[in-house]
Amino acid sequence: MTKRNLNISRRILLGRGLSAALLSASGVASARTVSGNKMVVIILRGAMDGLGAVPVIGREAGAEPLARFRPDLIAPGAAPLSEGFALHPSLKNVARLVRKGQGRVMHAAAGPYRERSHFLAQDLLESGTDKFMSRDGWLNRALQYGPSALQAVAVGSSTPHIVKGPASVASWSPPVLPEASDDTVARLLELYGSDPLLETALSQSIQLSGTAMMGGGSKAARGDFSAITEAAARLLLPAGGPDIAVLSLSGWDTHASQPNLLGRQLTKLDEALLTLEKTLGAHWQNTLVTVVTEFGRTVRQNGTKGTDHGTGSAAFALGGAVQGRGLIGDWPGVSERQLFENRDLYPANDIRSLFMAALSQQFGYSRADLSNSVFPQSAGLPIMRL
Amino acid sequence: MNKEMTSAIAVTRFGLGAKIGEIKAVRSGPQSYLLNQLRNPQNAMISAAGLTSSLGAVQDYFGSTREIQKFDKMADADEIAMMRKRRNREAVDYFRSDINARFGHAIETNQSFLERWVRFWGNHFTVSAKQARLYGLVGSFEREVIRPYVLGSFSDMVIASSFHPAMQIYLDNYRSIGPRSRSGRNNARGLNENLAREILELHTLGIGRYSQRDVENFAKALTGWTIDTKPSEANFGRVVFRERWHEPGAKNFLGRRYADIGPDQAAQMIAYVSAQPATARHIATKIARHFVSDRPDSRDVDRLARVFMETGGNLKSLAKAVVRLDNAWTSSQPKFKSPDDWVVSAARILGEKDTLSGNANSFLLALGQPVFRAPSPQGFPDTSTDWIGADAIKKRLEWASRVARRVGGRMEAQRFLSEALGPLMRPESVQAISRSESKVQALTLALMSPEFQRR
Repeated sequence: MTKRNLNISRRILLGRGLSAALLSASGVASARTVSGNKMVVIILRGAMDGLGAVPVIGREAGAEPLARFRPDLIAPGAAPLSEGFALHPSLKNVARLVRKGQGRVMHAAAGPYRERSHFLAQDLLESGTDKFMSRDGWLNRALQYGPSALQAVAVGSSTPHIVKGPASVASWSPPVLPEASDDTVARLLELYGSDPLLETALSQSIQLSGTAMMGGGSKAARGDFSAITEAAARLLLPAGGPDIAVLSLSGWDTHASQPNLLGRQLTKLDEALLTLEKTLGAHWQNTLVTVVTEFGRTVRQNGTKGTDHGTGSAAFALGGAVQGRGLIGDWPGVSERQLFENRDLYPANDIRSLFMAALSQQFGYSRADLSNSVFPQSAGLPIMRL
Repeated sequence: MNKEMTSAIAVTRFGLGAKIGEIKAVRSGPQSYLLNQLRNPQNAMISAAGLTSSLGAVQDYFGSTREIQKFDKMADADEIAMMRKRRNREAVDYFRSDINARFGHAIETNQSFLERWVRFWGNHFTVSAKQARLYGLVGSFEREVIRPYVLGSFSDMVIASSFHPAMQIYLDNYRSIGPRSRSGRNNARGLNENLAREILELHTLGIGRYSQRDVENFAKALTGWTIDTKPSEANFGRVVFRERWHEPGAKNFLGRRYADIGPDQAAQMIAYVSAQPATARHIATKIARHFVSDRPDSRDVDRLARVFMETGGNLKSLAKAVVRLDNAWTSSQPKFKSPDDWVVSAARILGEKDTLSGNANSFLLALGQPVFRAPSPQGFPDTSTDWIGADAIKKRLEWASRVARRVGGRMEAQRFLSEALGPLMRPESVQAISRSESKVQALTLALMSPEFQRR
């Protein structure tokens, strides 16, 4: 959809007398005051191997060399960081960000979940609770109970659990077929007048498409993660648009042939982060990106040159809004006796701490906001500076 | 409730949507129309003409792989790349043929309740084409594991699923080796617990009904079961039991001891978990969610779970029981159609050519539900909020416009809605259609109407 269409679409929406609240939720500029700060959450689905992405190389971090546990999984050419850690050679751009003080790692991170099911772990990562079957995601609760009126957009082909809930959250992915005419869209909106679910969904999509597609979008239409990330960045740019974007990248379940698979995945992630930085331009300075996964993988390699489901993994905080340096949180070590259940990296840091820090730093959430509503069982967790 | 409404519910909620004239034809006995579909298990099968069995697909894929490995030593890189491409293209061809046959059957069948039942179970036992080696197998899995057992015993289906090459590959068991087996002791390769965990969590008991220790012991019992990928062997292409990979010894599993009997140890464990009350409840909840409501009444779940336990997990009895649930017969259209449901229901009226010709699965990918390519072993989700979103609606509108342009006025929009929905059609939609600027626009609106997107 072109800019012209965007204006027409806006007219359609206003002409149909949709409520101000609906328009605001769908990303049409409103009079609300916002800081201009942005947050991006990237969920790596399938359990990224944290020790593959951020290996331990120095004696000070690991009492035993990682190669003892996984001789076939050590990628040569890792970029050394401080404190005995390194970054996988595919994470070139992340390494650059870390060097200039715009990137930090939280290692040995996990949610409160100690079993090893992808689906449940993702469910808890996104619900932000330590109980299953939560009906909403933590980002949705953050929108409901925050200190200011924030908006979020899910970018990709389905609505992730993290944004599900009563607060309206937009979603967008690139078109694959020619779009319907504005007149058809307007008539359909009228037909949905007695069906709030469908009406909200349609009016949001009209707004979002206009903005997201300004970059073209043909690569995004082919599922290219960098191009989808670019569209997400464009959605964050307009004043009055969403403050928070959520993206997912799947394909991390490296049970076999991990060296090739993980290298490819990390390259995709790294390229997308560079695109995000470039597209956000000046906004990168006030952006905080958190990159997280549902759990880590076994420290020892398995029988098929891969790793099985584990516990602690690595997470990243990136962007101009990063203030500190060095590892976030604690490091448990990876010697034989330090492993969790004699197989996994010990989960020394609760991943919710990272989200809490990001919300607090970017949008001014207080301890009470966070532990009363957004992360209900989080009273004991620290709120750090990132 | 009048007969015409009951008929519309039978055809749209239990079935895959009305064909032209179907709602009227079923009016005389909507319930018996559904129950009659369960009489002959043969009706769940589809013609295998032009389709490839799992045996054929495994032989072709791994046979080619073996050839490639032989050539690899002489190493003409381009030649090798070409061979790989040819091998993978063949697998994708098998995949497409299966998808087309499946769509064709769903669109034509007069037993579409039975076909929805097949699809429900196919999603329960998800195998997804995530690698080239799986493309040729996911279709045969549904034909060999789901269709033959869909009116039989649940436990038989779990066993058929667990030892089918598609599931063995999808959940990595074919490469799992017992650490204390003969091969395991001299070899770096070892245990992979993926299949064991998903059988317990997704296929049978449901989450939280077992310990990590149970998963490990079950995984050990499953070792040895693999696929013979050597063309020189008599069993080439088949799932076989390889003694030297099997973890020896008796194993404790869910508080019971399983003797060291080799190949059948895992099947005994599967038979046990398949018959547990937790499994009955897990299955009953999913069935009720699919046919009754996103948040089913616990009494309906109890009823289905009781039928499961009383009949030893007989799937035909379960299908009958769901037809007899009063709550399944409301006219409020509580379920939002999944993309596949919506597309198939349109095709049942408009015909295959205008709806699904071309690469049907690429549209379904955009709509969020590519056939045989679920995002995870959990399968596709099954509630309204999973499928209604800004982006999902936009994608549906793109597809609806395309279909309407192709149909080009050969089907009046009002007739379409009336055939598809009978008394479920709403006056607002009729009015919107009558005011449309063109027949194409009218049909787009009909396809996108709230009542056509629900069931």
